[in-house]
Amino acid sequence: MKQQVKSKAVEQDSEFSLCAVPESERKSYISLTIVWTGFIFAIISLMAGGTLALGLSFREILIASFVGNIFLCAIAVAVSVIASRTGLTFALLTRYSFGSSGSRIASLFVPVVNVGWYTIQSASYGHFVASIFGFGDVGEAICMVASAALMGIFAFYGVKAIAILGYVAIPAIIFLTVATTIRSVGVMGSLEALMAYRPSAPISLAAGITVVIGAWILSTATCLADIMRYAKSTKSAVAAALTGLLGGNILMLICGAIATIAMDEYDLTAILLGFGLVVPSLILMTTNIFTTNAANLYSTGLNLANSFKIGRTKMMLILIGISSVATLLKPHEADFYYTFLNALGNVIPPLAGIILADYFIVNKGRYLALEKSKFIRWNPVPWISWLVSVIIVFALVSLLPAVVANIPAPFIGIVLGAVFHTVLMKVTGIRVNLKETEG
Amino acid sequence: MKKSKNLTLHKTAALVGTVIMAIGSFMACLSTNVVATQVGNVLLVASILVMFYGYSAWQP
Repeated sequence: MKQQVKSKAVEQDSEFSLCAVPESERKSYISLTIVWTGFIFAIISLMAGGTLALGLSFREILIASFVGNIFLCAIAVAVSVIASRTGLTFALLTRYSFGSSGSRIASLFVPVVNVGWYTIQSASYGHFVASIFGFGDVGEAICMVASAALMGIFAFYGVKAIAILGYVAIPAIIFLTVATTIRSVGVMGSLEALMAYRPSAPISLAAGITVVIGAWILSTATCLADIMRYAKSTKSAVAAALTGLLGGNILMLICGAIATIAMDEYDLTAILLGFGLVVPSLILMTTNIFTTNAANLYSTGLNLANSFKIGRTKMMLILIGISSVATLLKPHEADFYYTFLNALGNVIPPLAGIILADYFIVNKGRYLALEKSKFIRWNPVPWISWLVSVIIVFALVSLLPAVVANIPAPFIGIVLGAVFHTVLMKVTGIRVNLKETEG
Repeated sequence: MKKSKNLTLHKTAALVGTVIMAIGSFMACLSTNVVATQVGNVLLVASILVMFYGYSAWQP
């Protein structure tokens, strides 16, 4: 009877939340690029571009965007290699370092941040739609709830649905972003004026690179694994990850920066509305938010399915329900909520460092297949490494802000997590996987 | 045979939709003429529907 229930759960697990993605279900480079680039095309990149424009010249913005993305690429390549070789979600990968029970707790942290941002974005989108159409309080509430539910549908139907959304949304984002940027440059006068731009409050190039890295390091180190586990080969996973960052992210950063220089506004949807272009503005906002949020909630569902050992489908319905109701609290207007999520943004990176170090250094780039593995329940080493790393990161943020201004806190977190985990695993000699590792 | 013909239809819709979207986007955003902007808006919305139809069954 128990066996029957288990096999039914496996049958229903069409998104492979509790096992490796089989070879027959692996996807092409283009499909992976579409899903990952859809994730990357978000307001946060435009915002980062806008921040760069406030402190750097246009030439420096180009350098900061490129160098920052090279750093992100290094992390992305490492994560893509692990995900494509193992076919496992980020949550399942934590079993190899934290043990079977430890993994369930460890994989709870990423979803808390992701579902928080999902709710904020849904509420913001609902508010945006309501304000365009002049709806009152009730109309706005309906729009916010409907936004969370509608975005969740794509996540509910999985990678296939997110890919279809991406194929439609990404061309729209590229065309509208480029067109809006051209129009902004037109307002400014000429390209020469853009090149001659000097910021009123200059910042160092290192600080600019930090802004670029800080915007995406968390998702690159965690959510990327959930997408790249579908790769047909490691080469296609790496290529897709690099295309998203070097193509998509740099485009968005530069467009955000140009818009800020020309129009004093990073948000292209607001610029379009300023020109009286409601339809393009609505489409740009919709495609931007839907692609990011759908992939975001998809990753969250996978992590929580591992934590609570319930089916992904049921978990998605619960998440969509909670998030829809939570939009009514108008989280996008609550400052404390942003502070909380940003603080958690410094807590998670050491976890990514632990996973990377555990695979590449402690296990020398090989994990035994999940179904052949037998894990200990708890491994204290990653918990200690994580705790110590988080304490050091928060100490740096509050005591040495100058350091964090030049080296992003999440990057420090990843390095510390990796170093402590490697050293402590060597010293203690703990074996998490009781079966032999592959030769 | 019918399946292959259907797939060609989806493929054509996907590619034509993408081209229409490019034209619609630039017309809607860059045109200073109100009529051209409205035509751009219509093309944009139509292209989304055509692309969803196309990419739902065919993907490169």
